[in-house]
Amino acid sequence: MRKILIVSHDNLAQGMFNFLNMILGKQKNIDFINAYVDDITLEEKVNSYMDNNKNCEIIVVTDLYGGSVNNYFMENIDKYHLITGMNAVMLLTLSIKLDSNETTESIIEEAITSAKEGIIYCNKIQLDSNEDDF
Amino acid sequence: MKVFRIDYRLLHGQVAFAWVNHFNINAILVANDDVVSNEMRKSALRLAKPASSKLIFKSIQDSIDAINSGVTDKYNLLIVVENISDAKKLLLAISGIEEINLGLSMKKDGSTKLANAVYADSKEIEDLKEILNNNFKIYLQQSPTDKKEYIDINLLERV
Repeated sequence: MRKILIVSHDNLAQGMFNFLNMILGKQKNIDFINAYVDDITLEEKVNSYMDNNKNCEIIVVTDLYGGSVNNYFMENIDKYHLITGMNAVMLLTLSIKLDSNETTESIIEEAITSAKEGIIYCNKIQLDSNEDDF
Repeated sequence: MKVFRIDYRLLHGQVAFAWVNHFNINAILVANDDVVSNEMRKSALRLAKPASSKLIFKSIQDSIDAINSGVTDKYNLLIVVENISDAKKLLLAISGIEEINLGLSMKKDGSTKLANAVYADSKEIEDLKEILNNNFKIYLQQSPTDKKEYIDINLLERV
């Protein structure tokens, strides 16, 4: 089974998790870890998650390349897929495709492409005025 | 296949992502008398258009004509209307739909809350009753993976 684990400094991970549940409905195979918000270390939280999901293929999504959260996951990178630079479109795409028959690698590539395309300077958009019809 | 949704925001990210993906929608019909001649609103709605789907704007009457002509039959069609009154007009004039999703209905003065983000005033309650009395089912569901909650006439009689 494939699962997504969202991890961030502070409550961003939980916010993203809440966002996904609002947009897509309740998601079963998505979890989050807020790092450094309490006395439980990131290592303890991650170990407990990994112990509970031993037979799963995990896609870890973190906030920031070079940040301590992502650095922590870099240490055991052969144990999961690791993507950093999370955004809303990336997580939506991953979530929608999570149960599909596509390979995990292709799902991740697609999520990254969509994530980049979803960053837009709206003042510079040429609004499309093409009319579709049946 | 036709999915029919009432949503005062018409097409937006939540609908574009969740509903279109879940039902493999390849044509979205925004049935609305104002939008069809309002370039600003059309431009804004086009921003939410998924790449996998057409997005078509038509007045309520033109929507009825298009659906009844059969041109929409080959699509997995998502029909979105802005309010309960438009839903009633459209539903009573077309065939091929058995149930409708009461997604988001705007709060107004004197309206009653039927569910989270679903409000109806007395005229709209009457419209909903008329829809039910014409043998359509009405269900509440924000996202396609949420459980469908069917509305029964007793609930509407009580408000």
